Amino acid sequence: MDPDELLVRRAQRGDRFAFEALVERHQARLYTLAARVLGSREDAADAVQEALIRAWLGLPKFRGGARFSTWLYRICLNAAHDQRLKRRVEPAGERPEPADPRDRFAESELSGELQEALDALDETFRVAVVLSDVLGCSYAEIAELTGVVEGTVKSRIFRARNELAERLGTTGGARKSKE
Amino acid sequence: MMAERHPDELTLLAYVDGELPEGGRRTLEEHLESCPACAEGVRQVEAGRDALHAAPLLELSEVRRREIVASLPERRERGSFFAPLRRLGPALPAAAALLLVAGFVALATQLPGGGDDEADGDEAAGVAMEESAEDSAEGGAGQTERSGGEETTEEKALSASGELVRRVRGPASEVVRILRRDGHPAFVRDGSVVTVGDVEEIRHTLADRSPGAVAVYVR
Repeated sequence: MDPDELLVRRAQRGDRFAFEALVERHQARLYTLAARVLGSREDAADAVQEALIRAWLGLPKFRGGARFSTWLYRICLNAAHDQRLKRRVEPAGERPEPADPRDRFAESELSGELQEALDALDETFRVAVVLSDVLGCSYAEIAELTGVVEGTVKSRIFRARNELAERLGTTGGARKSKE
Repeated sequence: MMAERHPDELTLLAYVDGELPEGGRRTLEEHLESCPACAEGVRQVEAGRDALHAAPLLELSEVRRREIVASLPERRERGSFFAPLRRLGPALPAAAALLLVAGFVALATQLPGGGDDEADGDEAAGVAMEESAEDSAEGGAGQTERSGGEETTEEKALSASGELVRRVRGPASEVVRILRRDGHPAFVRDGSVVTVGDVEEIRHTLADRSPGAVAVYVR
């Protein structure tokens, strides 16, 4: 049984407190997903806000064919995609100084070399590997989320992990070509 | 055999994930002992995975969380067959009787039915419309909404230009049905979907649709 099921049912009937409980339960994972995909704390927060508004408005249509978290991740990825397009049109202004310690932590995490390595990946690789290795989604779930077959997901994750390790220089050895 | 042929990436990934069956795992480990290139490949994949596993979850600030919750709009029940009836409240029996009479009149005079209400009809019948699991017909995007006849002037005008808002999973006819369910006129044209309305509203309607090959244009 989906652990969110009861709250989802209540929220579908218009219970905002139930939805707030769902927000509380999922905000960190949604924010991490958006932040790792977009590489920006502010853009990620905007994308999560948009995603949650869309989820709230679209909740009556949710029929439980997928887990609620999978459904939310998909909305979040779409919102992140839209945020990226928006940012191309309207470049970000000056970013406010982070006041909350959580913001400062996110800021430092997103300016580190792991994020740099993630940013350098192809977006489809980045999305797949973040869903898999940061959020712990199964390959089947990622296939459903990204609209590709499981074999493609695995291939993307393999290559993404490989590229990440190369960029981070974590294995020490030079890459050797296979014959 | 494995010593002569390098394992493919899916086999290496399964090994790193601990999902290779016992026999395959032993064979692969023998190969890794004699193949520095594959052994290095495995180390790379493990290192990439471990770097991400070590990455912490990030949290929205308290202020931002409050802002988000406060920004949730009032929800109007879009696309539900029963929603208007629920709002009638105490007047429901009278409204039901009125609907019944209207139904008889429609049948008697053979008024044409509203084809666009297909999705609502499905909802009323309790058919799950959630597209994620059921929509496996990725390759079946060849369907068209029109049963035949010439393109109307309105459709020509609609498809003349438009903003590409998203590429979503097909089939295109299903995307059209979802858009119409939310009150957006839509049709299939050359495998793409053309619709009308506010771009943000269209994005909301397609918010939970997976990416795919069907381009959605909004005018």
